[in-house]
Amino acid sequence: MSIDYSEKIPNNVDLAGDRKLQRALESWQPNFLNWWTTMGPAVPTQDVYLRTAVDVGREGWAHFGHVAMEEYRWGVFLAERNPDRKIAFGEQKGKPVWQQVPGEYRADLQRLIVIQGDTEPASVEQQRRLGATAPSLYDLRNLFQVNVEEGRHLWAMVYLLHAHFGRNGREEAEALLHRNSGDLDSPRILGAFNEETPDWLSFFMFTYFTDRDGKYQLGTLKESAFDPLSRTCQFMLKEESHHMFVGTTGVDRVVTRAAELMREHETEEISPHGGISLDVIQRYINFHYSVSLDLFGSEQSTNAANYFTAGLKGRWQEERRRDDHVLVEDSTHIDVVRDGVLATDEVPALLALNHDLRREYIADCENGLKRWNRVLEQAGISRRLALPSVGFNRDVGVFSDHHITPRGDVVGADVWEAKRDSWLPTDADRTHVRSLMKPVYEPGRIASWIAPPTKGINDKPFDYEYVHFA
Amino acid sequence: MPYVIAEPCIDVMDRSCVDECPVDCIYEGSRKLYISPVECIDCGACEPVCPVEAISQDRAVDPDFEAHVDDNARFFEMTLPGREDPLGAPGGALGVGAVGADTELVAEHEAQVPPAATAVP
Repeated sequence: MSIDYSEKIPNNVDLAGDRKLQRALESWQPNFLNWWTTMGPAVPTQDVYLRTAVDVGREGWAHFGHVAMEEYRWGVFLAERNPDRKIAFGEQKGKPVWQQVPGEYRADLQRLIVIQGDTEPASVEQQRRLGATAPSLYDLRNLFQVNVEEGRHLWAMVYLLHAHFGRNGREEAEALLHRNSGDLDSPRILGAFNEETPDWLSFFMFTYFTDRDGKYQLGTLKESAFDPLSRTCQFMLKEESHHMFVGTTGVDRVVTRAAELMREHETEEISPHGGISLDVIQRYINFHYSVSLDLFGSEQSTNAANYFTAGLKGRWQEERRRDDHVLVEDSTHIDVVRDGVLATDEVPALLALNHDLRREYIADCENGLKRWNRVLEQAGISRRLALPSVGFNRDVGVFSDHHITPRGDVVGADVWEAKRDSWLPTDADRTHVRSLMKPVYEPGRIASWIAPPTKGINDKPFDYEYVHFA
Repeated sequence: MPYVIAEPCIDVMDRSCVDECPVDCIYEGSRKLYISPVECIDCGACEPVCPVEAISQDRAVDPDFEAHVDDNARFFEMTLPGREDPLGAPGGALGVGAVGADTELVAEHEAQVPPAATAVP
């Protein structure tokens, strides 16, 4: 079904055919717009060169044009329905997928949707003030694209809550607008979404490491037996790719500029020359990677096992896996700390699904590091960046009771405290990075601490006027 | 190496993946598409849209098609027939256009009948 743009809420779910649902969402819409005005991007703009979906299919999902952000057409878009789709895993494997929520799974599915939905507005709140220090119009446009799409992802989850979870769902949809990132009284649900995104290096790290967690979480919900959730996540993943593009190429460009300055000034100490040193970049990687690993939850989880067995949440690339998709007989190895060193334990595969997903995520992140090290290698610089140990700086799971160095050594609290500032961003690091955050709004110009992109958006040049200010 | 395109793409080249890729890193050979391992950002947008399931992460390639992991890289590293230099990392497929050549592995592959043609009686 194509997207109906004549409606107040653009959608491809025939909202007009369900007046009660339509009215409920139309009454939520002004609350959302009020939230966007008060918690969304703070820099006033006239219009921004944005991608808007006009169809979920091949021809229409990426329609570009200058749009006034408050008039962006946030809507409800689900991937096309496959009428033959069957449940791919768990004890109901092979049965038709569900179009309605089975009563016995109502609470669990609602919880999964609320947790996912809570992350979407959270990142908009975290990034609210970044526009004031954008390194270029190109980057400012990319920030806003990420923001409007996170807003649309909120719509995606709110639609499911309204359409399938009755009064409880509507109340949860309201609560998604009332919790706020970092709010002491009413914080966002997951820790990483209450951290600040105070500067653009943090933003690029967030869109690399934390949005990449989103890729994997959405990938498991895409497998869900609850078909509307699956179809919602399929389309969200399409948009999420842009966010990972922003993060990956953003860090690329910071590393590229660092390498240029190192060669120009023949020193690693490039801070006095307006750059961000590899030491600082490494500490930011250490922080954002470790915080994002916490989002995968405990290595062993009966909740995750129950979700899988029930068909609510699958594994990454479930249908391409070569096993029985039930896992009751299988085992796997998870990381643990034993006798003061990192080791592995054999555990039932069903209990280790969070660990399984985290392993896939880590493999992606390793590719990112290879990419950034290739930039250094090509610049003739011998220094390399690295992912810290999976146990480093963890607040969730088996490592949370231990102090573990980036190299993976288990150490005491004294060593941790003594060395902490060489592993994680310091106040001085953040102050220096913040000092570089000066807005560059002239088309075609770029801040000193980051290299320009190799190409513009949608074949537009880098010096295109991606944003017009109010 | 991030995502790779394997044997099922040969003589199909649906190109849906090209439309999805946010960094324009999927290049067109003569009989098959190839993902630049240097330019791919691991977003995964290409994988679900391939109608013949030719795309996967390098670590999850069907064992029968494992040769295509290195072969994707080879497409960019070797000097292809009819060209003077390796493609390297040109920064986007659009500017390069159809390359009109393939790696040895693909060029020597037995011709496949595209799926659409098999539906015709």
